[in-house]
Amino acid sequence: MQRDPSDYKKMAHDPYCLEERIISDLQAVMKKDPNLEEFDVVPVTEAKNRSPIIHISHNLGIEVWCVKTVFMYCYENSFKLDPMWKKEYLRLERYTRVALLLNPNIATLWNTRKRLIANHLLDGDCDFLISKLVLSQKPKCVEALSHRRWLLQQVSLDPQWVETELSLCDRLSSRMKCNYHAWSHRQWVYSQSLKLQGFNLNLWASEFEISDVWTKFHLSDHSGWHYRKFLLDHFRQNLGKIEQNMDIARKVLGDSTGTATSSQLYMNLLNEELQKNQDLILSFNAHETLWYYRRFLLQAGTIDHSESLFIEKCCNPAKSNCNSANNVDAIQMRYLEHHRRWLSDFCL
Amino acid sequence: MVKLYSLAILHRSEQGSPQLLRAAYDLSSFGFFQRSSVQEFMAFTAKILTERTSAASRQSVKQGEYMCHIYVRADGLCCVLTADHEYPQRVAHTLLTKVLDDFAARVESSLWIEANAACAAYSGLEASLAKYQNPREADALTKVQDELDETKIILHNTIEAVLQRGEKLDDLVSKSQGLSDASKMFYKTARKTNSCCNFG
Repeated sequence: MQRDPSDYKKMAHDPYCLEERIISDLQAVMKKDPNLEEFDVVPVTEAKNRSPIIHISHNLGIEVWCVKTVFMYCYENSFKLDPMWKKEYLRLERYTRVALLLNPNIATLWNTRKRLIANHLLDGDCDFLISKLVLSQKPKCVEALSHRRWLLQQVSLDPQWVETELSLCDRLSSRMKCNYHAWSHRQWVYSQSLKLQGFNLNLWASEFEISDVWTKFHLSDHSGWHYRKFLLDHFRQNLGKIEQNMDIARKVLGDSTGTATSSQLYMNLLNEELQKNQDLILSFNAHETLWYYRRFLLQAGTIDHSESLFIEKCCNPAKSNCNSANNVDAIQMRYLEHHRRWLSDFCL
Repeated sequence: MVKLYSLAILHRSEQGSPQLLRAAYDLSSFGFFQRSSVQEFMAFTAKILTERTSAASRQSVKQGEYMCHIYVRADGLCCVLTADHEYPQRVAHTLLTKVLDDFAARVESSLWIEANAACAAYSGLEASLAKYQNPREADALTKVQDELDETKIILHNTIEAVLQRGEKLDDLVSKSQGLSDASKMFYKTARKTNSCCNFG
């Protein structure tokens, strides 16, 4: 359906126009079901004579034919209303919500909502839901994630907030690969929870375990490996605190050898990681991330003679597929050559 | 990402188009409203690819961020695996051989003509799809079966490269009867925005 842009201004005071009814339907579903999981635009070939809002088992859909006109209507009106004029804030909330669901990349509208919340005209719960729905459709939407971070610093926090955010990050990173924004958000949530609750070895260990599983299945995900590096760095920065709780630390890390000091524990971790990394490099061809991560591990620990053993293993065709005349293996050889050069530079 | 999306077994007779006998999907990484369309497209892609693979040969076809591995046996039984680029090709093709051997051993060859109760009763696909999400599981398998000659796998960079002269993917999509109107619409929008969800 097509409307002239000037129509939207004229319609603004007609509470019975098509757009208003669709917005009301949408809002009614969001109010009725606070546990909505996903939002999406549903492709249908033609408009049928019924509401374009679809609500199936905690998923919210809007039929594609009405998206343009509803978005234009909400967008025009969101910019026309003044957030400071109290009489209009309810309508403003209504329009920005729908406009953001349909096009979440408009930072100004997120900021309008921030102003409403900051002025206590709106409470933050609804924005958690909106940003969650936006992210279910666009898992890399950085505006929605940053709005969430702002919210988490503004409103009083639910005791479960860390779990909620971490499981959101899980979903986002599995929905779209190399999701840098989701992993940055995860880092922020982790750091923020430490800031509020102090260093927590159990949280660290559970994150380390999750990232172990993740990286094994997503070898080329730079952001995922970077998070693992972030966790290891974090462990090193808190060696002093860990030292005071060595019993717990040994238990959490499954260390049965009776390691005495936390820095020894850290070195063990690095060595384990090096071993795992070697296995991955030898069994999967040409993933540059693995080499980057290896160089981080070597830099964090100390390089000893075993590194040349590793290079030998990579070159030995009996133990890996490196030397067969296949294109992928040529790339692997290039990474190996690069690694060798880095190693000689680093040891100088 | 190392991920398997679907496994489909088809049968191709001398005449007529290939029949989908049984398929298993893992669509958890797609949005709720996209799943049915994605599933239709995976079945559709499997069909057009098996039609264009000669008997007793293997192909791997790249399309966007997906990779389809196809194996057509000499007796017309075919298997199509949809994975991502990072899933090792060798493992994928070994898995295809294994799945077809297993299927042929459990379901009589006279029943391969079309999807029927016997094919539906074959439950090995879901299990394989879940198990081999971890390519390490397939590692042992790869080492045993050395007869797979990797150099014989034909690689294509797009589905268009597999199509015969004069054929266009857009035409095949719009003519297809296996795709619902909503899925065709989904295909068009995905193509226009070139978003993450373009499949097919």
